[in-house]
Amino acid sequence: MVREEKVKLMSRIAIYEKNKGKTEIPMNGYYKGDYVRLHTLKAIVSATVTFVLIAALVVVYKIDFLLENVFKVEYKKMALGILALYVVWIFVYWIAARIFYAQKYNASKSNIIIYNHNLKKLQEAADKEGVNAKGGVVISDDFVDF
Amino acid sequence: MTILLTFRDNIKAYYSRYDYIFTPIVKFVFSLLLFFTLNAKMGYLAVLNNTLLVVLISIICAFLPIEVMAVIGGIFIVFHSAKVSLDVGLVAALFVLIFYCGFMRFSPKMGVIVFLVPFFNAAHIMYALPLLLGFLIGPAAVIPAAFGVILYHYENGLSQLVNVLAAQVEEDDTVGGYQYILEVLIQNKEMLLTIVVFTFVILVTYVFYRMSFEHSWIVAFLMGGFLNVVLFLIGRVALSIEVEIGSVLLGSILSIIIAFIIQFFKGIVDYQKAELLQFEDEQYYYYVKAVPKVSVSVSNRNVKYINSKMQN
Repeated sequence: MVREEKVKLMSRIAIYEKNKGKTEIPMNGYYKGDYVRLHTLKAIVSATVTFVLIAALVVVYKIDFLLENVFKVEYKKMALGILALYVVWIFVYWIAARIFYAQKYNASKSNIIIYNHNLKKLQEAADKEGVNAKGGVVISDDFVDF
Repeated sequence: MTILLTFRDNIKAYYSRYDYIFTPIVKFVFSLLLFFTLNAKMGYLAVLNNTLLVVLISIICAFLPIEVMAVIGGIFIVFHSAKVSLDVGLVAALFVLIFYCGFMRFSPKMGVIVFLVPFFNAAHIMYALPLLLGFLIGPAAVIPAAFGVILYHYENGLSQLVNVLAAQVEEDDTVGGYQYILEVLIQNKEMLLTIVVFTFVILVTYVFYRMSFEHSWIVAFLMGGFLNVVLFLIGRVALSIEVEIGSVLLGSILSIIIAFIIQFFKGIVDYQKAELLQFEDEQYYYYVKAVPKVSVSVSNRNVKYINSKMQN
């Protein structure tokens, strides 16, 4: 027999798993701090790649100047300048990523709670069915009225 | 007004019910327009400029997540540029990679905003964009909008470069293609001004739109439109460059009107959609179609006054 309540629960669960759950359920496996730190680290890696790419673009643009002045450029000064730029760049990304991922984690929380609640209800229904199948009697919650 | 409201709710109910039909159609049309505007501006590689291919890609895009559209658009740009000259293609690839690593990794769905700038430009309403992005998307749209402006000027630079290369008599190698393009982009004051104004308008519109006082959205729209015009005017005088002030004015007014219309229909955008689901338990396979309950306001309401006016 198809139980309506069960279908409703399963549908709710399936809708969540199909849409937001795809990203939010794996998120739930982490503590907030761990999640934010891990993703901030990833963000810093891609920020570094972006920095290198932009640097490549600048080098391509300035290639004539650089080739003309190979021996005149003060490399120490230049390296320090690039390093300073890199630090600022990473810092901006770090702050932005921390805020972004912390917000993302917080936003998922309430959805996850409802999802877990639905799963629990479904599990309870399944347990009751199991007891029924073995010949046991299950008294539904609303029957017991104190 | 009641008729309008009923009309809106009816559309909303209809759309959320048949979402699985409408969304692919909307995405198909959108990607078709997007790739056609891209090809119209920089269709140098004949293979990609093929109408049949574009239609095919659009059909594929209709059923895939929206970020795929941005990726394919990026590939289009790189290949078209490479056809003009290989080093220009390399520069284009660098730009696309910078955008991907620097931004699209974090919010992939926003990537497609880049292509809205040339798209809106083709419709001659480019300056309407920042206000709409500001209240529909918010600060996250700043970076893709900036890259979109760069893309627009890149397209122009590329078509200039093609003329320059064609005018070049022999292979005397006086003009390095990539150097030319980068020169065009970096020394382009108009591009810089557009990016700054777009950023500012997006942020201001967003901030006012999110404020909690009543009718903050009206203030946001008027403010955004006004700032758009004023900032472009100031920039034009200060940097002494040519900005088509007529189209700025037209775009701003149009954007305010469009914003009011979208605000009215906004419920349609953030609807709960109908879902087609499949799952199973030990006994059955379930094929469920879940349709959200949408209350449609009835137009012919009868108001019955129970308390008659007290007689003095």
